[in-house]
Amino acid sequence: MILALLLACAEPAPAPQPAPEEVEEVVTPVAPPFEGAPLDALALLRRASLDLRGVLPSLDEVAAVEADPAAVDALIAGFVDDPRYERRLVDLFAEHYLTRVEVFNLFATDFDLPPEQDFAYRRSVGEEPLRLLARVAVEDRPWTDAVTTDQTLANPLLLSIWPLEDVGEPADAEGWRPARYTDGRPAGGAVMTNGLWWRYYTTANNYNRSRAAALSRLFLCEDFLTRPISFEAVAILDRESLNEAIQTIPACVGCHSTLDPLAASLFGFWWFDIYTPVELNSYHAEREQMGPYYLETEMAWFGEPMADPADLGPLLAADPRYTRCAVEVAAKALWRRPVELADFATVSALAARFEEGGLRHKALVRAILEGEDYRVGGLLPEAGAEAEARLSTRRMLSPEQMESAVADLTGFIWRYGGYDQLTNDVYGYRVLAGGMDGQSVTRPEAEPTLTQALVMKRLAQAAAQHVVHEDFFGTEGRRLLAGVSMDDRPGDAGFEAALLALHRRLFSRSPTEDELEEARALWQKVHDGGGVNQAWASLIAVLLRDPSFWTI
Amino acid sequence: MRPTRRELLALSSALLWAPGLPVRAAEGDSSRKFLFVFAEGGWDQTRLFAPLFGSSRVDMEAEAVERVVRDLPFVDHPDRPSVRAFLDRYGDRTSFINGFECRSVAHDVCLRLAMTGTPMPAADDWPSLIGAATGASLLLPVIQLSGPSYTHLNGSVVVRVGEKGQLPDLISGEALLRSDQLLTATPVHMEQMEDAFVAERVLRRAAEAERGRAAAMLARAREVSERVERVAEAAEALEFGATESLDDGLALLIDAFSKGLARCGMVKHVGWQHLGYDSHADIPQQSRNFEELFAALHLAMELLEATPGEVSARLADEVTIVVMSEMGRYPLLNSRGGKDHWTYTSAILIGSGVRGGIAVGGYDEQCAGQRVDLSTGEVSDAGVSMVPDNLGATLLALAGVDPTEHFPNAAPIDALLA
Repeated sequence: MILALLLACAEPAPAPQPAPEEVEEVVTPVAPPFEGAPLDALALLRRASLDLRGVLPSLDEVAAVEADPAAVDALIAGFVDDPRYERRLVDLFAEHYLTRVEVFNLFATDFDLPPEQDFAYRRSVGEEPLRLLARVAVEDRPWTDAVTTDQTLANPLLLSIWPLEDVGEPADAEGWRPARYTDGRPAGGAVMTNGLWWRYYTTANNYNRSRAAALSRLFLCEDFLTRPISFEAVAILDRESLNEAIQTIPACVGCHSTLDPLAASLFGFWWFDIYTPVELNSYHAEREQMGPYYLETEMAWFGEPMADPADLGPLLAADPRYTRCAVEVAAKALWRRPVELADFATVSALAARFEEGGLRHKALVRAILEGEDYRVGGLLPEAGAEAEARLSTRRMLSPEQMESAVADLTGFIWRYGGYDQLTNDVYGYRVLAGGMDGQSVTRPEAEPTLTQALVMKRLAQAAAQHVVHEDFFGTEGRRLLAGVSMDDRPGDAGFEAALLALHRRLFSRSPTEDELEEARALWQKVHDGGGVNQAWASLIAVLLRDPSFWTI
Repeated sequence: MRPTRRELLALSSALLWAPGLPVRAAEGDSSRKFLFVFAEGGWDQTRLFAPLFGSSRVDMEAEAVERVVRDLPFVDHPDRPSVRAFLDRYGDRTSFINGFECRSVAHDVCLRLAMTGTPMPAADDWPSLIGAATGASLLLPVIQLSGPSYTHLNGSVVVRVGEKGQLPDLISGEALLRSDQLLTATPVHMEQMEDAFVAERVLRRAAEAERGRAAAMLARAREVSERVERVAEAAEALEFGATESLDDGLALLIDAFSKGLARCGMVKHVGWQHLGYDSHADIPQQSRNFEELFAALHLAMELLEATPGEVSARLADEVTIVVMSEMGRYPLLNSRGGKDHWTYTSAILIGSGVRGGIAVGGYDEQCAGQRVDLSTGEVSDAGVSMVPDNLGATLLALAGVDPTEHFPNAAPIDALLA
């Protein structure tokens, strides 16, 4: 049974005939004048550190940049070699690939996993393709490897439930290691992962067309759904009639002539039942030829024939749009805004550098970090309304950044029953904190919301309570309250030194005298009613809620 | 000299509406509230909206018959007494929009289409558009208990409660108890000191911010910090805790409307026994879903009638209930006794501002949507094929917001506007 319309397309307009003199004209894209003003060196250090490492710069790094602002460039260029960078890339890729969802067709219980592994199961499945992409990036392999390698990345949980073999390379701190599927699927990097196609599954009526559209959207940054619909669907109830319509009606052909041959190459992931592990776990090589049969078209990559699905990865990697899309994805993630037409020249220049450098992702990220769009912190006086609306002069920390930054500062990670509370939606606060669930919320919140502020408030209270207790009574050394005793009061040297260090640590700059004065006043007020511990806890909590902390 | 709080407030308010920033709708003057109920998964139009008896291309259920209440035809069945009872009592305030099309068969695309009119992420859904336009100054402009929620420019008006009702715990501080580490709640008077300090800080940052997005963000932060200071009292009054069932969810949203806290609310109907509407097998599940749904709607209507409104004697006169599903179901049964996806679907509008007792549009013998004259609601070859934008435009019109700004190519369904 077939539906009349699977993806609608625009009717192609007849191409206008250019005048002879127009044929020779070559249009070189030129970036419009940049109307933003750059961040100062300390703010840039802070932004880059949180973006690429997920933590605040250390006091030593802050001091180094204070002493020599020019030192910031070398410092932030090195952040892509930091061990924490890979984890950040996973978070940033999640914003584009949207695989870190809460619901898959199979649950942890389908694999007899205990309830406390439910969160780990969801995240492991969703992060599989993201981990692979991140690993290719941090190992500085050509970006084509991301869609051509015969390996994936897996952790012990995935190794235990999917047909995977450990290829014997070391695991990272979280247990992720290179692995290879043993079910005969062709090499294809991220496009041959279960994680990707569990997220983007297809229905019996859709014949992988939605997956083909996802492939185009995710890896080429070309979305079939952006094309205007210029016709009405008609009810066609059988597959043959639908295929005929798709292949003959001009309005349909515009999309389906490329979409369907691509969909035809994905039938190794075709499941007869979308809710059973035996179907979903494995690639089904024997079903590959069902695509051409059902869709009545041969496999092809935008007009280039494919012999079989093994051609998919190499053809994708060779497509110039793949390179440009990688640039757009990285730019969008680091600029914290959509890539728009006005960015055409900038993206083109970045893509050219990316290609010249052998498609190394680290170099791409460094190039973005050097650019004005990343470093923008204000507007020039002559900036117009367009720049005012578009340029990300200030960005809000994502829940993932908040979690890692607070953990690094205070040692506190908000966990409950196996769930990271800032990064799940089942029991936790990911979307409420301004994050995305990958399905109904597909972009991070750009501005504060009531729930974001409430999550921040509770996180700040929890983390502050934890760090005060650990710093005063723990045995592992102090994190935020170095050198201060429980007897120190405002005006005492120990107190004042701790207060100053606290501000510098959280804000990556020295506080103003007003800020210090307000902090002393709050500390004293809380102390008078609640004692020393509560005074420090409240002070740390409010500084974590200060926009100077949660914006970059 | 440091500026006073009053001066800072004035300055940051000015920054909030600085020219050049993404434009949000100006607040309208409508006091109408919107209660969205979402039947997620795709409902079967042949169980309610499409009495296509006699068509060989449509599998209708045994024992079903067509009934008409006023001018509203529907599929009646002995297993759905609550549907019949609801329409007998409230049919004069109920209308169906039949045969509009979400042009996809993928749930995620259809959900987005049904709620925003576009498959693209850069769009706000109907509740957030209405909330931003007519209720942005309220404490909880759009309460999202469950169900789809798509925001772009208007995310700040949406207050998500969370899958397990996390919001009340955040407000009360009990969230701190949901931690593997032993934590204690901050004493109330200490917390008030903290909130006041933060509010002052945010105010300062907002005033210091340069124009552009930094200013917009911090102005929003200022507004939010004021809400944080006020929300505990409201939450206590609302009894956020009990929203497990559809009945409870509807009651809470109605309570929020009656207290003047919200303009829109969204709640998902998870179906009978939480089995949902995506009936690729066991199509009788649809019947159980409609039965449960209409029983809940009946209770909601009774509650609305018994509750005083803001400007009317009864809240029922100020609330429009919008019941929808992202897709319909294929008209023929599949091999598993279920029905697959179908691009054509229906929506239900009930209550304030709605011309009741009618069905707009219709389905042909293949269960495809028919063209409709939007001014009369009648099927007409000279009419238009309805898409979600027509629904969106209708809802904005009901909210007192000019729909042409958002939907230049789709007109409201005038036939539905009382």
